[in-house]
Amino acid sequence: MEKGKANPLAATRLIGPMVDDFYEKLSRRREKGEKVCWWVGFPLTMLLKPAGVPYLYGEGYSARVAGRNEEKPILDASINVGWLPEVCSYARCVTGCASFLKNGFPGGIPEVGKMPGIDFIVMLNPGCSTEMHWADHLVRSFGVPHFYINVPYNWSGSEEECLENALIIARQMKECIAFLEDVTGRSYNWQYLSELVGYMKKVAAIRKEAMDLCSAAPSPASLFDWAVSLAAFTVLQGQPGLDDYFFKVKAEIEDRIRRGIGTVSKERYRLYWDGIMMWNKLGHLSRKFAGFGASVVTARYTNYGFLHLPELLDPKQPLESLAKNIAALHLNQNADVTAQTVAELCRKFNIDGIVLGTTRTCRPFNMFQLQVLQEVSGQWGIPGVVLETDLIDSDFYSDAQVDTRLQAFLELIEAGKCKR
Amino acid sequence: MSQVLDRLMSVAQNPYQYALEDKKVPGKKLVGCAPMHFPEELIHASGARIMLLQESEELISTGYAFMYPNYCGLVRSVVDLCVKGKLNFFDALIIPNTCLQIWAAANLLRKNLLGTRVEFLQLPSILDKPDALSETIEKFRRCATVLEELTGEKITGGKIAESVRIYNRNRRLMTELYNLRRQKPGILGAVEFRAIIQSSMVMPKEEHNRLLEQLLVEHEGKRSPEKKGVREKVPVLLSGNLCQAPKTDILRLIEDLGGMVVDDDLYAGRRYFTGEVEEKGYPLESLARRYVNLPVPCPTRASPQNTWGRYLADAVRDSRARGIIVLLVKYCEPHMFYYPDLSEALKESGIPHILIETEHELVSLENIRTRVQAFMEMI
Repeated sequence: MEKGKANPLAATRLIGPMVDDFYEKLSRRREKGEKVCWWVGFPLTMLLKPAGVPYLYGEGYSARVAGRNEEKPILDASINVGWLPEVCSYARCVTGCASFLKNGFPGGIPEVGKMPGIDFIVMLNPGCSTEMHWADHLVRSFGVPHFYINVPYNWSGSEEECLENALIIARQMKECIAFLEDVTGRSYNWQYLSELVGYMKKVAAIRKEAMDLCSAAPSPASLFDWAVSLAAFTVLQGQPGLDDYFFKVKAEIEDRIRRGIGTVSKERYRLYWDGIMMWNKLGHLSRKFAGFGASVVTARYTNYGFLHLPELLDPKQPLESLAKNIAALHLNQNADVTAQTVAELCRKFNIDGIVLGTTRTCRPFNMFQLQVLQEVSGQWGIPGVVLETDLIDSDFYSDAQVDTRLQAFLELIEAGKCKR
Repeated sequence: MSQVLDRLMSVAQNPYQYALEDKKVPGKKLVGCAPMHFPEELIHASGARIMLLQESEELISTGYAFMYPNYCGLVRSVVDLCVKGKLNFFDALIIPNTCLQIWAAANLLRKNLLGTRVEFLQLPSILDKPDALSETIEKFRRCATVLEELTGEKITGGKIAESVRIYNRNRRLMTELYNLRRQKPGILGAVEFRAIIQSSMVMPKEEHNRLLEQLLVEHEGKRSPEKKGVREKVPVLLSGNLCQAPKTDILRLIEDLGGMVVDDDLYAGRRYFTGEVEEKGYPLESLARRYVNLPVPCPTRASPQNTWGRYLADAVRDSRARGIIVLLVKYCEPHMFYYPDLSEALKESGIPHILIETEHELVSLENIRTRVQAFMEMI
């Protein structure tokens, strides 16, 4: 049987240069003496723009390093300063680079490991206490001012608790803005924040429409396309040109649907992915899945994270509406809600099988995976498979293991289809 | 071994068996709580029995279907016991937000323990914010309401105050025993001290207080053991092993290799009893103050200042330890994230230390033996 080929969206090639441009400008701003914020946690970096603050977004930076396949020497360097390999690999990459700022830049480290210096830290941690510990380390190391926004979990899974949590988050965001005014010595531009919220509402809405189109068969786009596009909601949040980018993405998807073109040349299986993508294996995994005729159509990481409720965003209530989105993030939810989320995505996108990408060093993400799989499989009869992956550390990835398990899994799905 | 010590060792070795036996006493509810920051006095004031959840020695089997192996031993053990049906005898479980792995366990416990009320308590993690105290008081108040619903008993300020007195008595007795160890190193071994603290987490405090009083009487008149041969024991301080008691095999190994544990900074150790609750004032507020003021630096709470290093340097000086053995429970994120800074602080203080990672399944004691032996020789 002819092997399938991956067919990524051409429009997604536009985002790489936008990200490169962002980091180029960031370095120049630091060189000019501007204070740089290191943001750790959920990227609400648009909060910094009305304060005129340039920023580095930790997780996004690590993903970028790994996307360029330059993470290994940095991760090794982090081990040399006391980090254990089971620590979140995003954190190890950032703290590895941070250690160069303190101890000097050693030989053998790629240029991307040179981060702009750190002047203050903001942390926002939905469903992830790891981020608080990570921010703590940076504050201990550099002795810089910091502000933490702590996001409560939704234990009951109720809408009431979600709204209550949103109020708690909004209050902290307001205090954060007071902190920014204090650190910068400038008044906050509230009007600009409202404009940014209105703008990102539009961007998020276009993206959501585009994602929803992937219920078509063959799926015109894949999780890999959405993963690459996440930069729009992380480091590039609020940047001009994002609406244009997603217009192009959506137009290309609509065109593909008209012409019956899929993200995989021969779509045989439609899969849901649970976990964060492995950033140094994006292209590799995209081709691997395509080779098996498998479209990885959706994930809660892309569809239920990062301003996933544009309808709630309100320029007249910028903080409150952003807080509602954060409170509703999948990472804050309990195991039952998470299982429902996964089931909804599987039904919406006609999923044949669930892939649990373990994302080994990201326990906030993988903590319910097995329970969720049992429930969704049990209730809806959708089979699942566990593939051992990580965020960026290839020491926790084995191609042979992925090949074996994936092949067996797809044969199982095939057998199920034949029975029907 | 004295009968008192026998009793404490027996309880520490079989905590769930003890709790199950004790549950057979009619009328009293049994409430389990997860480490480390929940004020047990609240449960005590409700009239319920309390047990701090412990890591079992049982190998994990069924639990693997629910939780990946790279989670800490306590959490995997508790989940494993739960899905095997071995925790069904608890009437309620209170799980504070110590870390995200405990949040994961809370979800799995609620899902799988259908006859047990499972409550998750989200205490403030950032303790230097102005509203940390008021928020903590409010959370404790809500928790007290849950306990009242469970037991049918009103939790009054007077009852909390009485529980605080009993718990403070326990803290003082354990402090006395630790002081005795500092004055007379080797008076009791590391495994015995582990049992003393761990049994306190499982037994009613009233009974534990009586046993500790007897133990102090038995040992106050004793002298330090004679030095063995010509080789002096190496005084060491143990740090870490958050949330769970250290493996007895490792404690014995340290002593077999010539170490003498003169003090510790372990959860099943000094961390558990350091810091009394104020007995004056509004009792719920006093409990909240103890939490917010953190008697011992704790990496599970926001820790932007490197106070743990200073704390350990003081402990080494006061106990005259020659070095620190850091026991890091494998996959414990709060500890893993703090360790690089702790290591640097200890180096700057000139305090030698070694890091030993421990896990639920003690795979290679020989590996640990080699490293600890080298460390002992070095210091």
